Amino acid sequence: MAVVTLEGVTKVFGASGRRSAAVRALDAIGLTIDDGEFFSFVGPSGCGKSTALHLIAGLETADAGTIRFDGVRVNDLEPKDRDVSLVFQSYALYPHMSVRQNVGFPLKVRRVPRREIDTAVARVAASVGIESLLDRRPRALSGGQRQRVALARALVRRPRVFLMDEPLSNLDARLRLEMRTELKRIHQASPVTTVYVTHDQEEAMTMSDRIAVMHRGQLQQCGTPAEIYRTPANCFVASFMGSPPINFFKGGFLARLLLNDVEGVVFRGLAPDGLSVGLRPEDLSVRASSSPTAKGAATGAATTGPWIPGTLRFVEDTGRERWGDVDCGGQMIRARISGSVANGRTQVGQTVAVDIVSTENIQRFDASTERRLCDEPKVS
Amino acid sequence: MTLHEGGLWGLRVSALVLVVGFAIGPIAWQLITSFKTDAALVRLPPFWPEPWTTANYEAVVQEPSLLRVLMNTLIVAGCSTACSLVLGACAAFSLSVLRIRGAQWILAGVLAVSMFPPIATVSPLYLVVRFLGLRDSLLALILLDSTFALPLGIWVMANFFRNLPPEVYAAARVDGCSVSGAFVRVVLPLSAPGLFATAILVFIFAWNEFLLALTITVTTASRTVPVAIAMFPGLHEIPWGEIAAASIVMTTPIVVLVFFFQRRIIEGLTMGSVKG
Amino acid sequence: MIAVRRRTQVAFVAPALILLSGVTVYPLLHVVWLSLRRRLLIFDIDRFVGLSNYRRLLGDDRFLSALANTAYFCGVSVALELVLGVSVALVLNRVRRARGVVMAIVLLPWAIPTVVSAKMWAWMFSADYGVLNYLLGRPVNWLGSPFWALNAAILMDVWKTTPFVVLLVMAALKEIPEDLYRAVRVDGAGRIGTFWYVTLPLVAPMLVIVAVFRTLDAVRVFDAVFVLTGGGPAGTTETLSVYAYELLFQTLQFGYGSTVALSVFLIALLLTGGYLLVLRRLPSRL
Ligand SMILES: Nc1ncnc2c1ncn2[C@@H]1O[C@H](COP(=O)(O)OP(=O)(O)OP(=O)(O)O)[C@@H](O)[C@H]1O
Ligand SMILES: [Mg+2]
Repeated sequence: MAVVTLEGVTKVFGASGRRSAAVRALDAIGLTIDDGEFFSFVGPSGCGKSTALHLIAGLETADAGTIRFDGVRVNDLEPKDRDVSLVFQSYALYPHMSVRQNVGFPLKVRRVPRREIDTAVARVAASVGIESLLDRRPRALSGGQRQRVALARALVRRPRVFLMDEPLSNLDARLRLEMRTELKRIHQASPVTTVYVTHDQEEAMTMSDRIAVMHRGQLQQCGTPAEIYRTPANCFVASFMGSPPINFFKGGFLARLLLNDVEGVVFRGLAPDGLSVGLRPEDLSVRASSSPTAKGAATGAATTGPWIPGTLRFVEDTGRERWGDVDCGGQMIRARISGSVANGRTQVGQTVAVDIVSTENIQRFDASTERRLCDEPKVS
Repeated sequence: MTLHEGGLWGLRVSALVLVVGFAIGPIAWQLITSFKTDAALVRLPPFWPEPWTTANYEAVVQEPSLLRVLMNTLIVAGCSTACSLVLGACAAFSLSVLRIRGAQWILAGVLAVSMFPPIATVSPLYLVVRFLGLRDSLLALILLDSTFALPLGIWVMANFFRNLPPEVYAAARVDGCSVSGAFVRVVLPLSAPGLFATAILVFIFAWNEFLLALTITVTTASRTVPVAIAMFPGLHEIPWGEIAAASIVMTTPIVVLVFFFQRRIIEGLTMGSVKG
Repeated sequence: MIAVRRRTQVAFVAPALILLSGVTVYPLLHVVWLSLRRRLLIFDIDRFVGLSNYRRLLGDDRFLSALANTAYFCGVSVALELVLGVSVALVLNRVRRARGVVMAIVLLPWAIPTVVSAKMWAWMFSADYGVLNYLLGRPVNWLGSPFWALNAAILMDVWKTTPFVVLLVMAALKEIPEDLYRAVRVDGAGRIGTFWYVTLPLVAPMLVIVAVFRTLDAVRVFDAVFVLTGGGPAGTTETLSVYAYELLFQTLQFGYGSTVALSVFLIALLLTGGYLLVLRRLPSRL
């Protein structure tokens, strides 16, 4: 177990290459992962998540910066001397070994006695549900089965740091939930520092103690799931975390909103210029409305809060919830279609009103820097 | 890691130098030898020729049989290449694209044939060639060389055809080509790189073939490079300087081929050996 | 797939197959027939003798010595070529700059006619003026001593055919995913462990294939020995093919010569069978 510290860690690919433009896969990343913490990296494809894990594992060398385990610089240590285990995004199973040999391999290399290997393999195989596959070769497994073998190979040891690169990406929804619980259970039973990469933000939110959001090799924000969700540091974090994604209002549309009734209640004291306002779809609610221009005249359920008129363009039904895309004079707004209106009465093309249900989570950003405005006035 | 890596880097570079040196050393020595005078040949050191002389080359070039031998080899290698390329491509097409029944077995048989030790077949072939009155003729050599190169050609091309997208042949047929039309107008042009790789390999094979050429040729009329070098005339002593010069002259075409088409050769060799 | 009449399919393969069987299968059968006869053209002898030629093989010291020489040549050269081939492939695999030139140079020995390389090496092996003895600093009677002559032929063969092994091993190396090397490092293996647990097992199937090709080539070795040593000194380097050639074309014993030639074929056949068994037991590739 270890505290993992990254200080200004930078990785440039193809720097010495000829004409090809160098890729800054990691740009001065600095963060500390606490002992026993379950820490996640999230970010869009190609943002440098895998690179970060490989650097921590010692598979790549940093071009600048320091990586420490428990305060000790490990930049020059070989992977085998760092005592980490890594679930590869590509699984990287040894094709010439059976599943049993694959899983037991990290122990075998470390000269663990045969009998201990067997019990460890049996334990971890049961934990990820691959007992019946132990004598097959990776070639004879499905993608999801391979992924669990890769996971088992990492879990078979008790390293200082677990590194997992999208270890559940190829599992079906149910199995993924099971494995999530299993990973949490293992982690709680003996909390080894775990660095986890995922593109599934729900996974990151539910499993992690803290999350780092990355974009183009740069660290955008690092904090608890709640912090990331409630107080995103910038527009990118706000839009990346949350599904369906947050709505942004700015410029002319925002100005018009401010002129409306909405103004006094929600956006008091803010100039529309240079401001970008984010509202999450779950804080907005679609309701049927009879007159498109009625100003403040609530027709359906008694809602006295601010609302925005528009036309329903598209409905997405996830089974649990329904989301609507509402065209509000050129600006598309994604909002929840709430219970009472959901039973078939809202139709595409219908004139609707979008209620601002909750004003607590309104996010304000500087429109040009896209940074969060911190010294915001408290909203009523 | 940097220091460590530095040491490894040094090790790697010296290994590379060793490998390249071992590969090219004998050839380089042959080149050096070819510029030495007869007197200098029996003195070592000096390592380098002193004086440098082109006498060996002049002697070799003035020999009327040199041109003859080069021409013979060029004709034999060229015709054999053309011959086995045509036959091999047709066979490979039937085996991989048309999927003739039993293709696996035919390919296995072809491979087995290529493993025949030539010594086991050379005497009947000699008898047949003599019977046909083709002894000491280029035609016999072309016939034999192109057949012995066929297995290689069939394998490389069958693997190459198999890696083509299967739709292209089907599309050509749907568009109205006959079988041979699709072969000539679509499959062959698409596999030009594979044909080329095969051609180079067969050419090198035929250029270097020794045992058949040795048994069938009698005079310089049909002698090829390997035989000429093996039977280099020496009255009293072995004329090493002239042999060196002759070897250099006669293998230059091969060396040029290798340097220009190194990638193709590698591609062909790997394709012939790795089952697709 | 579009149906094609069988006649068309056959028409495309037939010419190649006819030529192949004419030039290889027919002579092979002919050799079998010859090997059952006593045939000495100069004395006008040509009669059927059954298996007596084969019986003669067992009592023929020259044949047994050729057999031993062939086996030694085969075993040592193929083993050396495989070991060297893998090592050189690992070195060349790291080369980035001037890769084309390096590969071309490494290919040269393979492309040069065996006869030319035999002459080249014969000159280098020369006891008095040879560059090898000059570099070694002591006189070794390479081609004149029974022990060194066969090893000299092996050295030349290794020089000439290792490039082929290198190429195929490099092709196999290219197929190994980078992440496997990374996985084995994370799992705790060093450089030797990486080679032992990943590189070697994944190259192994290719090595078996290469071993088959190389062994079958080595069993029938002719030009290398014929030109380099001519079978000498005193027959100590004579291989089966060289012996058969002598019998067939110098003493014109077509019957017995064919028997010896056929023995090369039978040995090659046996070896292929053995290798196929090994290949079937190896885990197939990814
Ligand atoms: N070996 C390499 N050589 C050159 N560029 C590389 C290499 N590995 C990664 N990159 C580049 O570095 C950037 C970050 O790659 P990385 O694999 O870390 O992304 P990622 O966040 O893991 O993406 P994904 O979610 O798709 O796995 C990408 O732009 C990628 O193209
Ligand atoms: Mg990745």
